[in-house]
Amino acid sequence: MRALFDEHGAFVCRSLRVLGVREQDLDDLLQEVFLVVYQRLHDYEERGSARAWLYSICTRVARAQRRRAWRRREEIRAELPEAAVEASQHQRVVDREALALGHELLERLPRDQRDVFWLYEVEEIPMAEIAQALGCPLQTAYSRLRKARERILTEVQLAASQEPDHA
Amino acid sequence: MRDDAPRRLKHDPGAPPALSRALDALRKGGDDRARLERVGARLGELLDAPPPIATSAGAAAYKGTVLKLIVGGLLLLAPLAWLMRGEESTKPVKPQPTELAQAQPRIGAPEPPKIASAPSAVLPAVAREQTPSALLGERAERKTSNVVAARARRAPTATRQIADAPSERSATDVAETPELDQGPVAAQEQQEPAAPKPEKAVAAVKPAATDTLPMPSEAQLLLAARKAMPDEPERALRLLSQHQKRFADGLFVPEREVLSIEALRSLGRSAEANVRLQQFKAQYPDSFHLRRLQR
Repeated sequence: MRALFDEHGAFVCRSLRVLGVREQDLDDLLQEVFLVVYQRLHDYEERGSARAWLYSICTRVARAQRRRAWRRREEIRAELPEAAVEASQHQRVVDREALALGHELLERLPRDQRDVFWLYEVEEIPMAEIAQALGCPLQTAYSRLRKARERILTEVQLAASQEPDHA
Repeated sequence: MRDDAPRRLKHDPGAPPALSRALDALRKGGDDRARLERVGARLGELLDAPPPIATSAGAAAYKGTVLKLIVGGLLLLAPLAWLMRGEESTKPVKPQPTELAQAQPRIGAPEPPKIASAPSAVLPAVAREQTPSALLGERAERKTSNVVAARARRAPTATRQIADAPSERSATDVAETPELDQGPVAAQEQQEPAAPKPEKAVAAVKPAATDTLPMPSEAQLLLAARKAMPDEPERALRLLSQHQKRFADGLFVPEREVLSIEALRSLGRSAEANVRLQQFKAQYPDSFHLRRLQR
């Protein structure tokens, strides 16, 4: 359990963010994820792939939280900028912009595609493990990845055409 | 395995630079070291605790789940017979959390006594020895005094409840959790001191039976409070007070206090909020929440 936390805690944080969890909720949900992990350690023994498995837990925890938060999304929008500024460094502004873009792009993907895209393109988890964690056939996972890429590339090109001189 | 997989975008020279940067930033993510330290500290002993099911027995027990589900289904088909002879339920080979998780929510159901007694009979010895409830119980006893002291005037019974029977509190909690969003819990709060009957039956026989569920329930209670905060701060406060009673030394004590202070403020009870803030400062002088509270 500690090994999982030490090794993959940061991954869980990233995943939760990608899943739309607010900064201010991250502590709680990170903790909740690992409480679930604790309860399901035996499941992990069975499945082997740690990160993909952790991600599947993240999706459930984040989804449950988002359902609750959805009803007050105006408030969330009001809070977000403030929370996002947390721990920011001036010299990291560019990184943060890139990060924000990354999150925005992921948010625009349908959930199924986003999961695959995130795990494959960003976390570089083998597709077989992703498919296993998401409970879908391998070919479906590839198909989602392809669609996600198309969509994201389109979005990026659109954004670039709208703000050509942004720098 | 990856040979057949499509090349990742990061290795694709044709990928737009903006996208590459975005993916790279996502890959790095934020700096979560401080967060991990905080949460790691909160998880505490749990991180080093043995899993709820002994690792070596875990796989076998997992495979046994299907069998047990079938047995459980048959038992449900003959509820009356089962009621007469509750010992039937001892047949499952190796009880484990899945089964407990199914059994517990029924504790609060209309016909609790027969259900409540059944899982207690099948409690795994393994679980008794290795539960987080036991750990939390220890933590409660160790830390409750200072956590609760600050709020003794608000929850004089909290220490006793937690120290006496953490798992029996969570048994109710499990039954209630699904209702949190609908609101009945808040109404139910007034009944809290009079614990539902089945709890005793459960706790008497299996003090650690709830090992798989209590802690998420704690989180859910807080999340429900947080959800209620914008529109119904009063209800949020009630949920938080409920949390305080049940989880006086829970894993989310600082968060509970932060939310409580915010709820009090939004209700215009600034004097109480300030008192609580001072207590919070004394208790958690290094808390990152302070920045938020002192704005």
